[in-house]
Amino acid sequence: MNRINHRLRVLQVLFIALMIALGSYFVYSVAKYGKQWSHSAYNTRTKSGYDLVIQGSVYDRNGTEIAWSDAPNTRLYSDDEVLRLSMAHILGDRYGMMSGALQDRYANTLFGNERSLLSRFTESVENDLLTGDSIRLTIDGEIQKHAYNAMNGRSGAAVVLNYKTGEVIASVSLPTFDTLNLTAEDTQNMPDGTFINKVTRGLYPPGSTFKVITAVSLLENCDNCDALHFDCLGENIVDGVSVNCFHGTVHGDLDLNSAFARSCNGAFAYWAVHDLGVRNITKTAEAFGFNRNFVFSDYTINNSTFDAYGGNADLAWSAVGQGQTMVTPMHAAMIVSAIANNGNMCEPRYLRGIESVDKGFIETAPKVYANVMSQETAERITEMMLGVVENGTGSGCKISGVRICGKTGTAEVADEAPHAWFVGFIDEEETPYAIAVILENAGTGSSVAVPVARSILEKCIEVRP
Amino acid sequence: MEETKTKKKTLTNGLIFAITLFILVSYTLLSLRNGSIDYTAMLFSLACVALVLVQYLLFRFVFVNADLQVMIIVSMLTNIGLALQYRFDSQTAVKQLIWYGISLAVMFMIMIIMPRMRNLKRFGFVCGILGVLLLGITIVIGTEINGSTNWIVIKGFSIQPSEPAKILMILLLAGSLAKHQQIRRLFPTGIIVGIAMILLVLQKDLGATLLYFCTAVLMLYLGTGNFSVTALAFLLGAIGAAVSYVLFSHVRVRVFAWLNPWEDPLGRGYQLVQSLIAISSGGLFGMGLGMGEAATYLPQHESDFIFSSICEEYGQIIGLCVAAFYIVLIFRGCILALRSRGRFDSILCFGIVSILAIQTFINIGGVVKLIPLTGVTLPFVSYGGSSMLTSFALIGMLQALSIKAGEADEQNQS
Repeated sequence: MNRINHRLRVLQVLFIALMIALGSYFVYSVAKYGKQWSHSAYNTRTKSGYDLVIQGSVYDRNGTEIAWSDAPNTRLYSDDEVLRLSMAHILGDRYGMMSGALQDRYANTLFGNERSLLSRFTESVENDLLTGDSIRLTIDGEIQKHAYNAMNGRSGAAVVLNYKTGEVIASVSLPTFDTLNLTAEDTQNMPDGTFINKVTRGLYPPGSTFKVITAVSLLENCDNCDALHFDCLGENIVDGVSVNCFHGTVHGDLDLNSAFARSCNGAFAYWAVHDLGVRNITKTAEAFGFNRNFVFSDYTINNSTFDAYGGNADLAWSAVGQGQTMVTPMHAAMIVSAIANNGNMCEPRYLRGIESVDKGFIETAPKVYANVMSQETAERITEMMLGVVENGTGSGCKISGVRICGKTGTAEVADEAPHAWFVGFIDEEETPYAIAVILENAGTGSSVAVPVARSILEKCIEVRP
Repeated sequence: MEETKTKKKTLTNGLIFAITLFILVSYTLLSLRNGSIDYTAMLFSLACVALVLVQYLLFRFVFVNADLQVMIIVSMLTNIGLALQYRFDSQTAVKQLIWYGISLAVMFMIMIIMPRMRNLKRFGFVCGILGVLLLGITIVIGTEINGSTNWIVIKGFSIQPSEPAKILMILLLAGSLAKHQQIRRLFPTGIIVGIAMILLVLQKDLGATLLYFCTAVLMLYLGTGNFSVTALAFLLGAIGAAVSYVLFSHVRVRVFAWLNPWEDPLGRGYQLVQSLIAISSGGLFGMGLGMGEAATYLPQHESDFIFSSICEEYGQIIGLCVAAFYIVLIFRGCILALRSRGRFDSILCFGIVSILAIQTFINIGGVVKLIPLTGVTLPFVSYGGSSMLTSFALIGMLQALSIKAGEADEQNQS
């Protein structure tokens, strides 16, 4: 009998522990993901029942009005068609096709739910109508429009970040839609990907832009990086795996800098297998945010994935950005931002602040997401990326008198033209901008993505937002 | 001694007052929601208050050895559920109120009869075979509702035989575990429980399968103390789960929806996505009774997903309180099992507690995305006559054991 009672106590503790674990999980998940859940596009509650509220406006960083309301249950958008088209994915649509758009995320703010009870009450009594708070974005309308035009209607995405503050200066995704004239019927007939913000939700193979990560991993893990060298034959056999360079180009004898500048697949695949190993490269990739949940205050980025545990062939191809590796354009921009910002990766944000009816302008503070590498490594890789633009695959991006660092990428996809990538940044105190551009099935990075990136960066230098 | 008793009395009086207040406030709100005053709501609330007070008086003056704390917790849970049922649909709430009355009557009957039954432990096998027959009949004449063939519909009345069969199963297990401790002697019992599980799997009733399995294994551990056999049973269960994942598409759908609800938010993940949205939309203090939208968008908001509705309308804090109520209930139940005299009473009491505890865990864990959704009700709170009747019958048995132990204590003292 005593033994039974002993076991009963054990089971009692087990049950109570299970229930406490359940309660703790409940509290944890609601605290961590609750906002994300309630702001999802599938929640109808945030947008209904506001017959007496005039929704607040959305401004760009300079105060240009992009979306506003003059009566309950209406929404007006800027007369500038290019601005509307370029901003569509950031603002969202009225039919709830988009997920994670900012007007949904900040619905509570825009509908005035975050104003104080007293002021809501007095205003409702005086005017019969309540005005919501407005939000000011980090986006610069001019650069946003310029980026949209530079894409020239091709499918893909472009994003510009201020790497010191994490502010998103421009963020365009194509194909797009017109927020003002979208009808319910249109939503059924749009091309694939129209209602996805590809900047944060589009997952692409990174192609050679991933060599940035491989190079960082080499710099941080190899005792003597200057001694690395490789003789590229165009068609290279790495441990029985054939890793060819794009178009079978023969690069000849290479060290780390020249292999990076000329984007030699064979060299990086060889070094990843022989000098790094899957553990080191995975560690570096995860430090940079691969396989991590990006849950930021403004929005969620789809998780980038890196998995090279399928043997040497897998590792060799993953090291040059093919294989299982996937990345979003926003994450690609965050990676180069971290390099530009001495190894500190800022949390990207779209919200500059809230124009509160009661309290005036409340600015959001920049946040560092993580320190991802040492300053020395950041400086070394910066020099290597400078080499890419000065005398490598990214030379089309050279702007005289400005230090531009970058990396091109040509991500091969089955049966279609490759995706063209360019990631890079301006290495100047006054113009701290990082960029990521991807054009889907458009050709090589150096011929297609580089001119787009160059045009956007020139605009950034001119405007200096 | 006297002083602590008075203190306890003040506390229980306070709690009963709190429940009464909760009922009256909830239904006053509900009666005002359509612009005009809904007198049915007021009447309904008076009926609820009457049921609680009658229970309280009976416990206070007639069933002095029964456990008041358990009764208070159960009343609170039932009334939270009833208020929400009334908010969703006053017609079905009236049905549920009638079930509440019937359930209470059954509970009191068990509390009167069971302490006088000395031979209950001998009927284990009879109960087990009855349970298997009950589940078997469902396979033959069962009707499919919500993807599971676990309902019998007779003249418009639908009952779920896996609910009362729970009671029969724990009686079987308690009976044979009280008698035998060697594993080989428990084989016949194991076979009956195994058949019951197979019948449940055939009915596609994942939740009940999981519930029966966990309860049986934990009772086995309590009865025999044989750790390796318990571990082996869990291993077998895990293998069974893996096999069913490979064999049955409905299992794979549940697991997919659990892991990636947001990848198919309008299809396989719909229920869970809407559940999470409902939970998070309520905020800490809720949208207010009648203000939520779960009734429109969340399927089974009144039964399996009642916890999400509680969080949406009453608030996450009340949701957490509900979880805390179950903790108190489980804690008290285990204390009663410790107090019980004799192996049979202890094991039976524990069986009752584990059914309720595991069912609660599976239900709440499912709707908050801790474990896959399996479709079990939340005891006392969810809509459903079979579920409520069974839960109250279990509580009646628990109280009967409390009465028995209390009377034995009194005899010892005198």
